[in-house]
Amino acid sequence: MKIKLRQLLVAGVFAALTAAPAVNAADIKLLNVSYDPTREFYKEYNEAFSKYWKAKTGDNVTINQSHGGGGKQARAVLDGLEADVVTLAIAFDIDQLYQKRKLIPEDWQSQLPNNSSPYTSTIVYVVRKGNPLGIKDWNDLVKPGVSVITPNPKTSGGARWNYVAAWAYALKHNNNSEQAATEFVSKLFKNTAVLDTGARGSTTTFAEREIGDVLITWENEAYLVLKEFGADKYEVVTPSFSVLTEPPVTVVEDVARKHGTLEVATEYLKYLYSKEGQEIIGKNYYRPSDSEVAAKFDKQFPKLELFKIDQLGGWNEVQKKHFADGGVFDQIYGPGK
Amino acid sequence: MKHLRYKTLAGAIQLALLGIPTANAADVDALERRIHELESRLEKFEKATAAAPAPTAAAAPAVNPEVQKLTRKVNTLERKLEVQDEVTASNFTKLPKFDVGTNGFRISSQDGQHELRIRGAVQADGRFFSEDANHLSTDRFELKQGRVWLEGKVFKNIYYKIMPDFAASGNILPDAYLDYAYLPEASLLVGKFKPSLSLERLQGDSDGTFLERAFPTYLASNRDVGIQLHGAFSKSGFTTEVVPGPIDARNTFTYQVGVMNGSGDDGSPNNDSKDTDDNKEFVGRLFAHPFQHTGYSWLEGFGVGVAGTVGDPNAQALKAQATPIGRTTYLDYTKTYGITNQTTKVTTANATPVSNGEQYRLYPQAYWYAGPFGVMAEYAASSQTLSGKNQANNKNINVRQDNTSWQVLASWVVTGEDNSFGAVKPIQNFSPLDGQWGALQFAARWTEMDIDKGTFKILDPSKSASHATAWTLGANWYLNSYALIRADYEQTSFDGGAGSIKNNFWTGGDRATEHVFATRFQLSF
Repeated sequence: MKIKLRQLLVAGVFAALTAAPAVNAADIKLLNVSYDPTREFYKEYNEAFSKYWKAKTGDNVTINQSHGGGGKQARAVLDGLEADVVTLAIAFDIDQLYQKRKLIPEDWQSQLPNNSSPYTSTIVYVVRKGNPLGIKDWNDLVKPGVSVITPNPKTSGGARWNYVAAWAYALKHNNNSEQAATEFVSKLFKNTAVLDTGARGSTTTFAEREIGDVLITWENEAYLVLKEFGADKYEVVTPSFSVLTEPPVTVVEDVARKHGTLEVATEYLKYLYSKEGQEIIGKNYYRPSDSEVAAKFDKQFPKLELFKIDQLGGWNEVQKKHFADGGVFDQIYGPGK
Repeated sequence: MKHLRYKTLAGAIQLALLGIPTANAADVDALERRIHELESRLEKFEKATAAAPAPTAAAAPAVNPEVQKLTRKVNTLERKLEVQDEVTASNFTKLPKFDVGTNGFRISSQDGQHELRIRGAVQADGRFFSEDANHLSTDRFELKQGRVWLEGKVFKNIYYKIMPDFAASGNILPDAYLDYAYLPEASLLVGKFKPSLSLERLQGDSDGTFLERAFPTYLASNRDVGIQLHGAFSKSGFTTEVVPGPIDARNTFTYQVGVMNGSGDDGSPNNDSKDTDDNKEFVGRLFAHPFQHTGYSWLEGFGVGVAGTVGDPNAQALKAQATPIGRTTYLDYTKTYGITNQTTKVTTANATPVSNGEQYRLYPQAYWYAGPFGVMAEYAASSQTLSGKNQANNKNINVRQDNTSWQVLASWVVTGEDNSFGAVKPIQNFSPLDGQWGALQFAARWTEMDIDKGTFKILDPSKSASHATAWTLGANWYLNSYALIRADYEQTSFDGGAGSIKNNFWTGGDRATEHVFATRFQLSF
């Protein structure tokens, strides 16, 4: 009996010790509020990060995603959507989380490398196979009769990049004349058939509903159209000049602290800069920031002249001038215009 | 095509066979012949078909460019409508919600963080006194209440109430407060509200069982201005409800501690809410529903508590005390005792007293609501110093006044609805043509008030009574959750004064018993 008791005791201790890690493994949930066309990328990335985190800490982390027009998404977080991290299209939208509710620190953009942009991208076009209208550059989009598909800059970060790229092109080709640039974007939006609320909606309009002659969209979204809807039906056109988009990411510290997820949320974003994260970025047609990984994917990205938003004064100035109520966009586009 | 023909043929044969279950042998022979004939014709047809040249695929007709253009236009318009629907649906989620119905009239934001509720109450009373030969009381119709008020919340947990009463004189703004209820366990109430003292006083003005409250209520302040910390706790495993305002009859355990200006017995500050001294009144109350969530359904509605105040007023005005339903004054602090100078024969009355110095009140209280039955009991002890002055000899008169009062009431909703500290909600709204009559409640009450005898060292005993006992019978007819008709009969007898008055002199005896029948038509939403 004495031996039996000792055996039971040893077995019990062993069971407790072996069970301990399993018992201690935490189940963590994160909410990543992102812009429209990152669905596929983050789906793949989240799986990779969950595996990485499990191996590193033993904890199970589940990342829920929310996607929509970048501006709309930022407003949702401001209105109470409890995002642990935001991965949006433009820095201005993220900055609102500090400006309006102090959900993030003022210096959020300096907390991760490359102004908290783990990848870059640009704006290109998708046209129907054979490019029947011979669209090559921005000036082709303002020709009469060309039906353009782009989302609404009021709700979509991607649309603001589209607009800004067209504006900068017009400035460049008109001796920096803002009047000429205004006329240019006015013509462009007169040619717009449907203004969706986000980039993915525009893809649906163009590729699924077959509306419009040209879709202005993110580079990654353009290649996704080829993949999803067939390279035999569509082709990507890279203009001579476009914008270097730098979609930023940050931890919503106020929310993450409340959820007790600050550490994992921070690591989740840092992992974007790892070799593995950058590989997934490249595979999904975003331009990796890591030079080594970027070189590997170099061939899939055509060369073009890229300008930075800073050349127009940065997002705060651009937002105020063009997209705030009564701004240039409201003047050129609206009922009866 | 061939396959289809075989199927058709087989089906026809089957139908034919099914249709002749009793056919004779001759018929069967005829059918067989017919089948062979059909088979032979089918073979010939198949051979002919096989020999014929295969039809060439017709060239796809060229689509008319106009049609293409129109199709594009339609597709574009369809998509535009879809996008517009999406935008509209998104905008709808931001629009405020309007709710009008049995829950009142309210506007709230989609996220529920902001709410405005429009409420109102009208109480139209009638009071009729019998056996009132000397016409000491006046039969009358009166508008007791005419209130329209706003209440709700902003930013999720800042609650507010602004309630004017257009039928009141003096205090025409009974309630105006905000309550920061960040946690149900600790909320901060600031403004003008009912002090947390008398249980019946804290009951909603439209929710009471009788037209008017019983005697203990009138030893507590009606309203006061100050600040109160209050909170609630629930039994473990149950959620504590946020109940803003001065009364919480929902949670298991509640507390209130406050600092108020102090407005005296039955007092209520006027709208400017000015205080006349630096001394403040401290109010505290504990109340519990000890059997809540225990599963003993008949005991769940039992609540018990105690409340009290401590203050040190300086020359605080005293308010007259009146009978519960009749609202006739039986204790009038302005009617002071007079001393007649035997030489000059001039009578000099004492100065009107005020409350001066230490003051405290104690209110043990309980109620029990079980199914259609309800009981409420409350005791009140109020102690204060009356400071008057003998104006004949210019000497101060200070009297310690210890008043006590109590009441017990019982009620029964005969139509079976649940009785409660709040209003009775009829199962069926009044609609006689549909055979629906609303809810009916009967009630009875006994209440007494004992005024300290020392009071009459200052007050004129011929004008004020020292003890009043009232019993009341009442019926409440709830037409629906908003409309109510009440009818009460009350008889109040008096001891110790206010009796025979002849040529302005008290000749002894007690004030005659008051008999009053009163009605109320009430709309409260």
